[in-house]
Amino acid sequence: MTTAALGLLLPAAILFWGFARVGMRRDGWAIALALGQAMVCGAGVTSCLWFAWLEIFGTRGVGYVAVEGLALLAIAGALRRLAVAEPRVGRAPTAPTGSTVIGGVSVTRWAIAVLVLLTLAWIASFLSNDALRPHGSWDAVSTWNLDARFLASGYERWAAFIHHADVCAYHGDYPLLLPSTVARLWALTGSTDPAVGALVALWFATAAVLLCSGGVGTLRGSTQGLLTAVALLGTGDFIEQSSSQYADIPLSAYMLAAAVALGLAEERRDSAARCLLVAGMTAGFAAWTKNEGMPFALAVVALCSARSMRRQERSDRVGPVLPLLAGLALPSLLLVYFKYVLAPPNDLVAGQTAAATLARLLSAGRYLTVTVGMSKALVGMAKGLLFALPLYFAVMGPTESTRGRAAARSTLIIYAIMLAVYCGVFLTTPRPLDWQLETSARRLLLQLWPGVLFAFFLRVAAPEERFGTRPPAISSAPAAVHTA
Amino acid sequence: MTIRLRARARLAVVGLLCVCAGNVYVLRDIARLRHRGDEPPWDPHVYSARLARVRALLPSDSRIGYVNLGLQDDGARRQDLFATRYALVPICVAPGTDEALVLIAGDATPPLRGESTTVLSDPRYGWRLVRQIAAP
Repeated sequence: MTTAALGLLLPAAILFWGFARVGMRRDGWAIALALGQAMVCGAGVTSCLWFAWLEIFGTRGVGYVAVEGLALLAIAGALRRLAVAEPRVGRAPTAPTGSTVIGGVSVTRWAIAVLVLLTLAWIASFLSNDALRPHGSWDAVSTWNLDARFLASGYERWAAFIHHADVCAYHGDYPLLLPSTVARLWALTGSTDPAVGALVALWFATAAVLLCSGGVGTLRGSTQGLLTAVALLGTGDFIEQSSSQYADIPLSAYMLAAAVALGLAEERRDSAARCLLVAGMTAGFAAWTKNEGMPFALAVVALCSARSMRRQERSDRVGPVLPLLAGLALPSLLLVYFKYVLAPPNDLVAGQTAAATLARLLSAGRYLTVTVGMSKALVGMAKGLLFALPLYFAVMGPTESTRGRAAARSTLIIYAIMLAVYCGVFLTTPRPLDWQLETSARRLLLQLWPGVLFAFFLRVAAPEERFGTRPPAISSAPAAVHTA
Repeated sequence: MTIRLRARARLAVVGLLCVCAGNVYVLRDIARLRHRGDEPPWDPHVYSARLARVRALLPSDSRIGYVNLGLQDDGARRQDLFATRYALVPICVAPGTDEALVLIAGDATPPLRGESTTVLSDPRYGWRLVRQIAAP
């Protein structure tokens, strides 16, 4: 188990060195954000490399470890180089915290207390579920860990399995980030200990919390960052799914990482090239995690391209998209190879004919069923928070700070596109609609939930703004960027 | 008015923290540990133990068919197939009787392609591994 943990920690540590920047030591939220980014990127890079190595060379060995180490160092070096090549970034200004007291205790302390309570509950729930279902819940056994076990059993077995995936696998077309991450750790440890699957699940859930709260904390200050973490851990489905060993939490972490990186680029809180490289990488890893990640990656590229097209200079139009495409390259190449060479057709796509799809799209009843189904799923997924958050916004109001506005806007645009895509998939699914909604709608909405919380806490007023004297509006990006 | 707004803001923060703190209900998962009947019917450990002899017999690059006529419900049949697949990795398990080797769970015999011989059987767990003799 220690070897497996090191297999995750070492790549993340190397990339953390790449994400670290000058002055970060004094900013806990920036550290949390960099840690979250390093965790998801470390797992993503190693998953891609491990699978590519398996497909090219078929065998594992010392050579792979050397290549993996060098590749991680090269990526970390590129991240550092991009960071110093552009203006350095100062610490996020935070709103005054003088009078944010409830019952003689500061809001920050209340939030920390609730966060500790929820973290303990999360750990207890995680350990109990792991004891009850060490191989994960249903989809983990039927798909994700099944793929991982074949990948870990050697190239010949894997090749035999994937070439007959149409009869020997369930959802054989699902991308392989999660299975290859687990298989890589199994290969390192030399066993197929199910605890590794649980470790990977915990890894991605922790990264999601760090990314969500770190992103908000970096842009809006400590209290907002803490409240974001509390809200995410206060979501029942997030806790439950984090121990299921499904790919939904990893996907949500990659989507969030891309949204945060894009947001930081828009806020000019970091080097734009570095942010876009990270956004491209994480969007690509999202596509390499689950099929839903593919429209997400396209939405990220479309948004960046649209933003670039509005610029006057031609060089300004192409330049920003290049780091994004560079980041996307490795996972996209692997995905194209997997989808066109190895994987069987997707059941939802294969089941479509022009006439049948058109008939489904023209059926008013299906729109109603999807609306009702998604609404029910939203209530089931968010529970009390679905009502508490709008009420909270109604009382607190939007922040007067301009910080985070651009990041929230770009996040909401991408996530709205994703919601539309999900609804479109439900409308046109060849499978029984009620069954499809019942089995997947909550998990799909959960994929978007951390991003929604990220945007929400960027835009809602901080307690500091409403409790005491009104703080001066925090100016937008240019003031935060200090030239080197 | 400002005082009222501040009071409402405090209430909103307290309300949000309370709603989130309500999520400690996930601790009920610990209680589930005491009820061992909560294990899923497709528990991989159970299937691994049940099919250990098949795994030991077959080479790892085999491909077999699988049929369980004892289950009527489609969902249960699917879960049974997937749990069998998981337990038999790296043997590929396809549903149906198209493969030369077919693992049959339950007492009933599915229609096979001609003659067959039983390679291995386990009355305790109620399965048979048969080899179809007729050419595919």
